[in-house]
Amino acid sequence: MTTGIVTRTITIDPVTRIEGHAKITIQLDESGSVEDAHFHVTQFRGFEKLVQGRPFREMPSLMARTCGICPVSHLIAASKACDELLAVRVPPVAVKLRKIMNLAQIVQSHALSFFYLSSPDLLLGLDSDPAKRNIFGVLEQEPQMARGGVRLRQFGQNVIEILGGKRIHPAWVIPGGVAEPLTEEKREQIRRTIPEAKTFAQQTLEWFLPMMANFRVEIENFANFPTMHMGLVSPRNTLEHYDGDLKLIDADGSLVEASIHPSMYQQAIGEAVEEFSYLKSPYYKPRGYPDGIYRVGPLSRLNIAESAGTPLADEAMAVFKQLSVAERQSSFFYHYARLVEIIYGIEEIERLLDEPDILNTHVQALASLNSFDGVGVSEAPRGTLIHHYKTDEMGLIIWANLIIATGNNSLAMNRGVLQAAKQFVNGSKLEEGGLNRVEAVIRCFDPCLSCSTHAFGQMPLQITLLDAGGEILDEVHRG
Amino acid sequence: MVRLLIGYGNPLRCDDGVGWFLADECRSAMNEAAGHIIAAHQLTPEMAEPVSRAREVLFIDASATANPGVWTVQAVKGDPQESLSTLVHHLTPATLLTLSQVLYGVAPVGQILTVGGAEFGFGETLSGAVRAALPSLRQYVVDFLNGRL
Repeated sequence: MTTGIVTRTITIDPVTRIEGHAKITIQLDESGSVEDAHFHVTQFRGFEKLVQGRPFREMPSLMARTCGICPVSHLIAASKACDELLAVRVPPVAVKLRKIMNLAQIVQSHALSFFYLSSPDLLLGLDSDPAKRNIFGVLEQEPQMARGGVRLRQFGQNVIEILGGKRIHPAWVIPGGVAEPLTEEKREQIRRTIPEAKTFAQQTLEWFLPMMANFRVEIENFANFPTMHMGLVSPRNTLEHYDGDLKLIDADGSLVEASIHPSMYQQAIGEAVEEFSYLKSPYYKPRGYPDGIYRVGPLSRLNIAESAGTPLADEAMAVFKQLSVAERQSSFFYHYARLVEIIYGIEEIERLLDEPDILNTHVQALASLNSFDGVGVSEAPRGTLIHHYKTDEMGLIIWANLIIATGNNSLAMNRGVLQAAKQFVNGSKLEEGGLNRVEAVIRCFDPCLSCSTHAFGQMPLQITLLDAGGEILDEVHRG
Repeated sequence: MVRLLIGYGNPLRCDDGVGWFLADECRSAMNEAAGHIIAAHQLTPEMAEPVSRAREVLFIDASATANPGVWTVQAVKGDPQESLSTLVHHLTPATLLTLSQVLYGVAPVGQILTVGGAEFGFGETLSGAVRAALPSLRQYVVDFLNGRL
């Protein structure tokens, strides 16, 4: 245990090029060495509370409003939870169509993370001029790659728009299935864009692989420590983003949990709160808090699956698996994993569009409320997403709980910030490049904080009432 | 494509959705061959591609600081020297035009139509002040879409 006296705090506020608002504080001891560091998520949402009293059928569209970046992920998880409330078997073609939309969301979200948010660091360098370290700087150096990034984003968004009628908050995924079947015309619209998207995705991975040699120190120090990894996996042990049970592996690759049914998530996952953040910190219950630290998201999905399940992504994943299990603990490789998943997503969309029943018009199972408790789990771009609802006999929501992908990584992000700060921050002489590296650790996880700040139990909260002169009139503390 | 209209804002925040509202309302009045309409929550980098294919772009946005119901039109140009916000969730019209120039080598003529709003709380209706301005706004947008400006 460290016992040094904290004498100074460095604050990075806001953390840039992430979704949402957060800050990082780094505490120094008397000698100017890093003593501790925290990743503070400073925004609060409270969706679990505001949906209480609403009819369960509203949940997909209400929950999609959680986020403008990944609304489809919430639509999918919310609809799956509502499928449980209806206790219906969703028509197979509706499952396939939901999968296509979910994969399109993953492709466009990963493209945003890689090209817009992280490529300035990767291409221009973490020590480059901050004024140039943005998408314009990337455009100047690699216009072809930047155009590819734009096209991949467009690809994912267009698939969502073609299926759902609009890019953000489509109301197409509904309890029991989807609202409308796919038409031949729409299928062809999507098909036409696949070859170009596939080419751009492959080119980007080919461009990125040799570049990693420039980031050996970062790979070594960017949230690189042993943790468990969790995610959905198919029965064949291939990548899965919609169906199936949760699998947990340990840092050495050994199996921790082969199969956790979504309805049993509370037996496996505990939820802790820290007073410095509105982001709750889930953990694997049998190991307690915080030893039950685990990671989710593209890196974890590649770690837990044996192969991808599509030809080009299988090739890419085989190369990824040439890294040792210990090497694959570095969170720097989230970038790598995103590129593999983009290839997988495009290929899997193509495969699903070729399914013989994909134009079947039976796309919704109709039913009334048949159960009062429903859990929906899916893989969002950033990791495992869990929606859990309870209703009264009228179908009104009486309780809701959300475990968001980013929240699952809360413990790892905090530990990663401390690791990077110890390596790259010198308290006696602050350098922009060092502080940028601390931020870049967070960007590896691509956190979506708008999504992920949700209450569990008594979230620590302080409200201070000040008069015009700044005097405190009243203060309420909770938690 | 000759003309592109991008109406943006949050349609669940009353007057903030006026750009979206006008974009949707004016679709039927547009000559399909001449123009294209996008309604969106915010400007995003991938819009640079359709922007690059237009000769003229009209951006419509709401303002919380302008007088309610008052609308103005200003020319806007891209500026490669502009420092891009590191929070790249959304872009300004000028940044989008710059992106179009840098990525695709062309940037169309741009205008920003700004509408002063009165109400930005939760709701899907426009305030009385903005509703009163709709006839003149509609006329301007339709004239733009049909090349009559």
